[in-house]
Amino acid sequence: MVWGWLLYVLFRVESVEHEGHFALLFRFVMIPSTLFAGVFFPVDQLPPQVRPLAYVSPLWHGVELSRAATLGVAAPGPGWAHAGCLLVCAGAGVTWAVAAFRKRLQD
Amino acid sequence: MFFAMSAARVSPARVGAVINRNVGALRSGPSYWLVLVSGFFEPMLYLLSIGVGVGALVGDLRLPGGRVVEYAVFVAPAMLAVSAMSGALSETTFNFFFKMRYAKTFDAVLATPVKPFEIALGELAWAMVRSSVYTGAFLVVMVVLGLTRVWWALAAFPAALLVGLAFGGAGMAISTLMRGRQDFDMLTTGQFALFLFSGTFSPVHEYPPVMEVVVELTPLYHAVELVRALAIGEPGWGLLGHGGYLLVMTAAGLGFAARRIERTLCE
Repeated sequence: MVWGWLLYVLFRVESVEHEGHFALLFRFVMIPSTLFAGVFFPVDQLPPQVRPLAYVSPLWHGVELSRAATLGVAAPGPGWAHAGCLLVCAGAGVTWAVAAFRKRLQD
Repeated sequence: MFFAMSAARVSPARVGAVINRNVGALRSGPSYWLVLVSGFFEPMLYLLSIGVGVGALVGDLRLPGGRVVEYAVFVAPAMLAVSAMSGALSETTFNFFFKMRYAKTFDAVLATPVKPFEIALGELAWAMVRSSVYTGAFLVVMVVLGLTRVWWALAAFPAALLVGLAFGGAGMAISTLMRGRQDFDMLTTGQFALFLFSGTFSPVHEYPPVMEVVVELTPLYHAVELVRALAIGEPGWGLLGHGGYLLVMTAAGLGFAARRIERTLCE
């Protein structure tokens, strides 16, 4: 879970040009996903309009997977789907990061 | 004594000049504005997530006075105190440190007739602008969500200002002691611990007795108690104690910061 999340963050950080943007990254991405991606309360409690935002967050997939693994309860979706989402995030993150680094170092 | 001596010779015009410099710096570009505005959302998000989201799981809460309130009503004033704290601290910690150590802004300011105590006052006043914008906006949200009444919100606003002053003063004092930016990690950690354990999310009397005493010594506890009593409309004489604590903290922070500016930059 942490792995997928870190890689996801990695590619976001790559596009950061100003130090203040880290504060924005934390405030508008990290903290909201920590607070609303099913960590403290079930996503079902959110208004239906914003639920998709939680489902898109890799953290939600990670949380549900960890919960299923440690508590033995069923995850909302099939395990492979949640794991797949994290892997896609990780893959996209690495690809983006490598491409961005290459562009930056070669130019 | 240092405080009294310095305070006696303050010129409002010179303090105003220090504030004006900060206003001028705002024109540097949109990135600072974005960070400024984003600071408001953090306590808002916690209110919605913990207050409303977790509140639905927690149910109602019985206050020490016997009144039963929704969990969100209990958490909201604490988030108000937190936004006053973080608004003031964000301006008086890293920004202040940067101006003092890296940008050499205060060296330049001290080359004019402005005195160290006036720098401290001006910077604190500027931090209060940020803090009061956050708390004002937050109170509007609380009233709109029905978490407090308009009149009690108006009473809570000056209390939140006092919270901002106290943490702004303390923030400056701490910043003058910082050796480098790594030291700010300690500050962030301390700030987060205060945020979690100052009676913000659970009543302090539910802690083990030893922890209760420790918490009662820390500043955010007094800030939360003061602001909460006013926001839920149950003031008492105990508020004078909380207010006194914050006043002393403001004066001590200001005096200490001014003295340290003088020691580090003038000698």
